[in-house]
Amino acid sequence: MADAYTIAQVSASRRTDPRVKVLYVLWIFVLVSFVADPRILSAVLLLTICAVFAARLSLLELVRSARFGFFVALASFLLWILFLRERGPALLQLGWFRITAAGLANGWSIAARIAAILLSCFVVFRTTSTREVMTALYRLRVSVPFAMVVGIVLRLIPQLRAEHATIIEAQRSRGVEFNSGGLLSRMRKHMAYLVPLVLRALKITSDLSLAMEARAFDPYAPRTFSRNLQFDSADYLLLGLMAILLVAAVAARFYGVGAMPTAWLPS
Amino acid sequence: MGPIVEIRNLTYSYRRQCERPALRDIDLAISRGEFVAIAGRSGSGKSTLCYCLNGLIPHSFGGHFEGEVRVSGTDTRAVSVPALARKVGFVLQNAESQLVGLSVEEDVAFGLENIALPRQEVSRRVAAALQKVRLGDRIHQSPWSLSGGQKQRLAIAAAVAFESQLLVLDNPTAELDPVGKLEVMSTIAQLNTEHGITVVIVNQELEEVIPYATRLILMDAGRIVSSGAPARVINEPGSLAQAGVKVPEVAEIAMRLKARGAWVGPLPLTVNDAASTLRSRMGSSARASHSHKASAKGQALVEVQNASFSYGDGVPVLRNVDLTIRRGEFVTLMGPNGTGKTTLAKHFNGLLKPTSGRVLVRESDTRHASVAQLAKIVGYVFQNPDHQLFARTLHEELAFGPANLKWPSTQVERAVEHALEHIGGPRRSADDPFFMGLAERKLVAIASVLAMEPELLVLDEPATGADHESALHIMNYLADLHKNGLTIVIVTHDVSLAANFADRIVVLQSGSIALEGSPREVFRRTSELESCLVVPPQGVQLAQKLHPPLDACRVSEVVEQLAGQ
Repeated sequence: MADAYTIAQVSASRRTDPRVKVLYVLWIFVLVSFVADPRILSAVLLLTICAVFAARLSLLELVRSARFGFFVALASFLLWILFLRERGPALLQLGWFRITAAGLANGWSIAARIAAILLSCFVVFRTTSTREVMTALYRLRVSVPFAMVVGIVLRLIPQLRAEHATIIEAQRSRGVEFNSGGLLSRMRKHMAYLVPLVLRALKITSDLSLAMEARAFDPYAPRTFSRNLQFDSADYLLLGLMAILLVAAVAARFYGVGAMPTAWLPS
Repeated sequence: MGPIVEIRNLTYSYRRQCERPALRDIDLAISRGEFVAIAGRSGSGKSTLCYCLNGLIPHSFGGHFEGEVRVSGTDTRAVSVPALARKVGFVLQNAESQLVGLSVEEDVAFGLENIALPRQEVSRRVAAALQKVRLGDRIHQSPWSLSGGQKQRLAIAAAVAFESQLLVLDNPTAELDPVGKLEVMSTIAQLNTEHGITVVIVNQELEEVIPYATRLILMDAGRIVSSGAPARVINEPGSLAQAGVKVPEVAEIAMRLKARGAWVGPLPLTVNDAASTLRSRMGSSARASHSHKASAKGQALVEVQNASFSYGDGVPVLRNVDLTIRRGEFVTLMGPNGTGKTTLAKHFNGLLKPTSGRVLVRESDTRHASVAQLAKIVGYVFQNPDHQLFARTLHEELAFGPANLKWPSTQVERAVEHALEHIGGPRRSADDPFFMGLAERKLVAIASVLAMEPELLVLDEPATGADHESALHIMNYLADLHKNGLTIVIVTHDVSLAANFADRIVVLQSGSIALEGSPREVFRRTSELESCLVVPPQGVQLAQKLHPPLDACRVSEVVEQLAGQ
């Protein structure tokens, strides 16, 4: 159900300033784009996992709700292993199938990046209300309509998930088996839930925009902010740590540390 | 002080619909403190009129606007929608689509923050508004964890937090269960009587609003066709029929009696009115109780045996349910939201499998069959056709199910042709379901399931949301199918539907079957019904209030017995 998504989490990350949380997502994103060494990426992934625990969220549940993203991560991991099966000596060989260090390293670095980004996004979205994300974006001087769109998208996720579940049940009741048939018939079957989902999403967003307008929402008018955003010492500490690590990562990369070791390069 | 709402000569058409105005020549004045109910069929202009009051029309919708709308003396064209929000509280039909915040407090504060009130004032007003709708103790809760009625009360709180003197509600109870309807209506009434807020409410169910309304407005094709005290409007001959509005059951009974010369005087508005009029002229001769037709019991189609079910969280939703649906029956599953009605119904076609006990469909265990296999026997129509319909043409929509069952193409074609017969014939096969109205989409959804030729049809609230005439059309269609041998199970809150169409009612309470039997048997057990939060329809209430009580359940039976005296 939608509820798990929306239960306000009372935890460390709930108390963290929303600006820090938004910056955290950005920070992870920059970090994993800068670093390519799978060992360092593992450390970054570990960090995002620690953040999940610090927020007192269930890792398993988080992975489950973003399963499509994690599936992509897993698929890229396996694909790299497959692509680079002839690169260097085999760590493991089963018939024609070989796992090489290069395949493992490259697959893992992609998978770890995707997983770290997913985890950081989900931790923040689960522990921050729409209003807080919006306030943070306003205060970080992001444009108001953009902050608004982010806010609305976050607000819609739980409702659309519930809609999606109902549509799938409605179509299964009409005899659809989504996981069988050839490519063409599968595509047709997927239309059977994509079309209603898109139409429902349009209906829900148009209702929501009516409701917001009726409550005097005006993106260009001055507004009250939900809470006086004030960094406390923990926020400064986090920001400081993030800044130091970011500078270190950039500097290290400049000196050649953090790149994919030559032995594992794909070509 | 002048009227709070003044509308003069208003004619409005939506963009690109100039030839078909949604509102025509509206003249209306509403005084402070009034409780105005607006009714009319779909497309009669009720919602459009609401949007005119808070300035969404013309500011957001555009279109062609003629005439003048003044709220508290302000011309709505002269100020923006956000500025009008301070004067007009607005509540929409769907409670969930109005939720903005992740907590109850946040949700109410959203509007106040939009008008840049100081934070202390925001907190004060949030607390006061939540107090008014009796949600003060839920302030830190997630709005998604509230019941339907509570969510709608939250939306009302968000509207009254502006401290406006006018509250406009567009069909706020349409999607709620009876408990939710009652709590929302009594909240609105309280705001009206205790806080003096003027209420304008669109509501199709006159039975719900009549106890509170000081004025009833009927709309038809964009015009106000009748406006006045509810008693007067209902007694205008033909007014409700013209507007396509359902007559309250007691008034319906009186009307039919009147046609047979068995009722004199004005039509009653409440059960008590009707009962006292009837008592005054009734003798005390006891009538022979009609023996009811025992329905012929067919063979079992679905057998639920000691079934329990819980979702992932382990909280039981069904507890040891035993239920048999026999061929040829018309059964309604009833009970407030969250009692397991829909969960139980989803067991019939294998969407859910019991965590313990078993469910047999034509004697085979649903655990060993896929939903697709069971779809040949049990058809399931969801409440909202938007969840089901996706194809570009009616033909494609109707063929989808049969094709999924891997029927040969000639058989699919035959099934489509057959299903089309019910909804307008072969000439409609190229029509696009997307452009049909809600009632018609509901019919298409039913037909698209019927195309799979199931033996049992399960429907979740088939008539809810459609206006009175369309709802009646859908129910008569189902009654016809039933007459032709189809077994039907309906999940519904609509007691009137259950009383007038079903031959068996099953009432659930906390995941178990609390009551079961023919409508007469079930509605007779008033105290048990009360504990299940089910209120019998007006016709039944009236029959029970008479001395001696009538043994009748359907409106037609009550009329027959009263006229036969």
